[in-house]
Amino acid sequence: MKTHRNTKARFVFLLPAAVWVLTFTIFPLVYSLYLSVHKVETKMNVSREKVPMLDASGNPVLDAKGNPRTKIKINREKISTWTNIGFTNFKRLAEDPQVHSAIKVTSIFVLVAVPSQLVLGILLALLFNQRLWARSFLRAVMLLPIFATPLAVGYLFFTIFYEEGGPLGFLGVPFLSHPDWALFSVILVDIWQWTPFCFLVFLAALQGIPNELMEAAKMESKSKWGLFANIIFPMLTPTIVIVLLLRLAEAIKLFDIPFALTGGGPGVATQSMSFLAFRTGLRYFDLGYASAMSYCLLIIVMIIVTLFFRKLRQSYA
Amino acid sequence: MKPKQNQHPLKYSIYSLIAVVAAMIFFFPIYWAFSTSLRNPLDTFTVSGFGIPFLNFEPTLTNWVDQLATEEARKAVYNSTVIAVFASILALALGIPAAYALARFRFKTISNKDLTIWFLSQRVLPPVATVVPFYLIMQFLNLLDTQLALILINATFVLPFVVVIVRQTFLDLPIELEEAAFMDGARNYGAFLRVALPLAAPAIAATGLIMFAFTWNEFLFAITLSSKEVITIPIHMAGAVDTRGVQFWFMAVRAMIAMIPPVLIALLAQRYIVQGLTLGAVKG
Amino acid sequence: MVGAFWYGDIVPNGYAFPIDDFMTTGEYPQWSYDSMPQSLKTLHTWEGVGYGVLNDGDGQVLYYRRDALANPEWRADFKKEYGYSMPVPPKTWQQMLDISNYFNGKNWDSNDPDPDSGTVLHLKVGEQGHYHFQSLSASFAITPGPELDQHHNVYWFDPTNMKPLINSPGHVAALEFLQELHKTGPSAQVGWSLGEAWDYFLRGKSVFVFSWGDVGSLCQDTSRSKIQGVCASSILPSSDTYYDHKDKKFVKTTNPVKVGNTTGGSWHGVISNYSANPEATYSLLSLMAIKPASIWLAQNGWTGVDPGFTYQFLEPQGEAGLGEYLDAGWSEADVKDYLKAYYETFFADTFLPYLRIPGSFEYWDILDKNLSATMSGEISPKQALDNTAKTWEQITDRLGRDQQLGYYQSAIGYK
Repeated sequence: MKTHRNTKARFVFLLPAAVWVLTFTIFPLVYSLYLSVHKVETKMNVSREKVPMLDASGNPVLDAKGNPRTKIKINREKISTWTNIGFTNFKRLAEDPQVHSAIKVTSIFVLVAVPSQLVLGILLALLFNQRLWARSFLRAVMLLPIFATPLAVGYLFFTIFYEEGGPLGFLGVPFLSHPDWALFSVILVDIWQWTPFCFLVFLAALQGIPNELMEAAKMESKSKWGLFANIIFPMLTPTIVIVLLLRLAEAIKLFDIPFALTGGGPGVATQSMSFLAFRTGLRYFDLGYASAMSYCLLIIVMIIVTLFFRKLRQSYA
Repeated sequence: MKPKQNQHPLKYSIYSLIAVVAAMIFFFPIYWAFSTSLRNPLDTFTVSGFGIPFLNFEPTLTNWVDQLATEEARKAVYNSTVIAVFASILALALGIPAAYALARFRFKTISNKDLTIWFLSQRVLPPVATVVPFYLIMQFLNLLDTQLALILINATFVLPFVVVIVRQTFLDLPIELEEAAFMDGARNYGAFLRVALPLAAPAIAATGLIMFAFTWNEFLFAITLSSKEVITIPIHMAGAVDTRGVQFWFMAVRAMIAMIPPVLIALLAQRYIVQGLTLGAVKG
Repeated sequence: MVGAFWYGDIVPNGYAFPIDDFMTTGEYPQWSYDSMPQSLKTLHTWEGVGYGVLNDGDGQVLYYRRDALANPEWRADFKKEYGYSMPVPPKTWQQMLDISNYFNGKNWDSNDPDPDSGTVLHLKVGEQGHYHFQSLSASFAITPGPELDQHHNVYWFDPTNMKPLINSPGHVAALEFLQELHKTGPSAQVGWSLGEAWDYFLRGKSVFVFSWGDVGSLCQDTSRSKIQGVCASSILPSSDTYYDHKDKKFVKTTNPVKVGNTTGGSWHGVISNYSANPEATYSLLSLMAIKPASIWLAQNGWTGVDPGFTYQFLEPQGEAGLGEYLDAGWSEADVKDYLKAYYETFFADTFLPYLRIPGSFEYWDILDKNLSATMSGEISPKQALDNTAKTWEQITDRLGRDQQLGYYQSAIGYK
């Protein structure tokens, strides 16, 4: 890589962003870890006093009888007590059936949705790599789901999965009222939204394969399958790995779709890790436990990410 | 690999048909939102067939008129726009110089590659891991329910994209142009501002649009940090779920309002989506 | 706006502003807790101090199709099948189940050519499905008595030691019953929240729905409802069998007591201690509380806020005139039933106590998830309520058993 002469200017360019990211990610994560080993209790001590009402210029306001009017001022003193409870929250994690179920739900979701998106993406990319009627128009239509607001998508699919006369009602499938089907429905929505992304990336990668190479390969391999297995697939492998890991990291965050589509149910059948942690922290206000939960998720992501970056480093070489 | 030109007509027809069906499947839900938004409440769940206006039901614009007339809807559009615009600008302002530094200078203690990857790694951080601390921090700073809080956080979450995508853009520009500027007496900042930045402008604009779409769609932080004043479009949508349940005829209108801008962006920034969403790992 | 179940979390921690002083100064619009039933008044106070200004007093009543239940053909056929004549409205849950079963799968409503259902429920998790169970199970699980003591008139916990009662045989029987009732409605309702279930009833697809006051007023909105004029209502039925917590056995009765409820959030205004101007906030809230029925109707239109103030009930129980309702577009038969149903529900002698202790939301949320799992057939009623009880014990221990017991006793008035 050719570079400019090194001057101190490079730090002026880099540091604002670096410091920003450090402040806004490392600090909350450390804070979160601290929270997870504490029990936080907040109380307010409140007293009320009557203070004279003042007008804009600072003079007391008088009532009809000429007496100064008063208003109530609330004095607050917030008292937070932090008790160190060690790893109690992490022990709770290990015994909490809701956590076990959330891990199971998230895993099934990731393991079914992501490979399906990859396979469908590759198939569609191969299809669109042919000469087609209105090819670029159709390709543009396929793009639309990628940026559709996920929460809106969740609500929309509720109307599509509506079992009493919705557009898929003729299938007679309990899309949202049966626990297994509900999870499948959530997966289906994610497949709808993210297959186009996989498709687009694979199409780009296919079009990056040099024509000469393809011509040469066609001479050698007899069948279409041979061509795919021996030439195309190996050429796509680096892209597949990247898309796979990107999708894994994203899919683990699953939140918006169950929020809108199923509310995490029936029961806890579609309650993902993110959903559970969110509810625990911001609906039950059990802050420490929610922090412990999200750390558990973070660790799972880290394991995947480690894999991810080794590969990504290679592609950056 | 380019598509073959000399394809068998039968194959061409079959493949085209499959492609059309696939595109229709992916388009259907968006169409369905549109169709639902035109229905009377009583028709919402009962229209037959594929809900084609005039054919399957008598369409009405009442839902649109009602929704657009509400203060909340306008407020939501306003808030989402302000937050998405400023978060994108902030992320670009911080990210572009960093991208330039990573593309044009050599760092020694930590290599350029590791720095880039470090920026990238922020992206895979599950947002829920920082939701509780951010909530407490914003409460402490008295920033709950403000646009500023959401601008700051969204900027943080899209910053890695900016760094990585724009870095790649700078790398693709010939460095010689900037060197010519040095000959004319420009300093680093001059070369960056007058040469590199204008050349990268189209890619930067596209990146900005993609960041806008991400921020526009963001839900988790919005629902955590806002309660009453700073309602964004996704929260407005979830707000239809009040004590009276979801009114799907309005929901469809809101879903359309929510989806139109990012979907348009997807079309506008087509060329950059692949690079953008793969964090620069695959070029489109 | 806060839900009544938040009091235990906000008042003891110092977040709510007491309003008793404001009410007596005479500087603000005058209203009084006395113009609401005792049952609702309780929900707006904490340990004798007033905090809340009523806006929406919640309670569930039974809605039924007047035309279907009055139809002589169906009535004769029902009598032949079940051996007694169809009571209108049903007095017991068991009768209601029979009627629901009878109508389920028949096309008794001419609005469409498809078969219709018995009862529609809103059971989606996180969408207040547990409220159905609360109102229904009250008459199964509460042992009625003249006084509230360890065994009588209690529902949630044993008031001497905070042991959950939620998995008592009475509660389990109620949940088994709810499952039976669920079978007489569309199976999709496991994933339905309020709106979907109400719309189903409003489209004329079910004989029964038991829910909040919104339904009564939505029935009158012809852009959503096909059933104006045939949308009848009554206080919820009672079970003909209840569980006696003292003698640990079921008791069968031919004339069960009516059990009232304030099931729901009863969302209303409470002034926050963060308020910079509590006077102005109070002034606004109290203005909303003193509205005469006509303004109340005009303001709330069809969106429906349950009637809770005396000025909303018809004479002689209240001060409202029928004309005001008719002018607002109500069907006479519907509104008479509706206001009577709410009056009986809020003024009943036996009452489902409201859970108002710290952590109420978490207790309910756990119950909700387990109920949802039962209704979708994943676990049995017994298992669901045992799970709930187990988790409740953990919550109680975590929040502090003595503290919880103290709040619970004072919330239900146990001495």
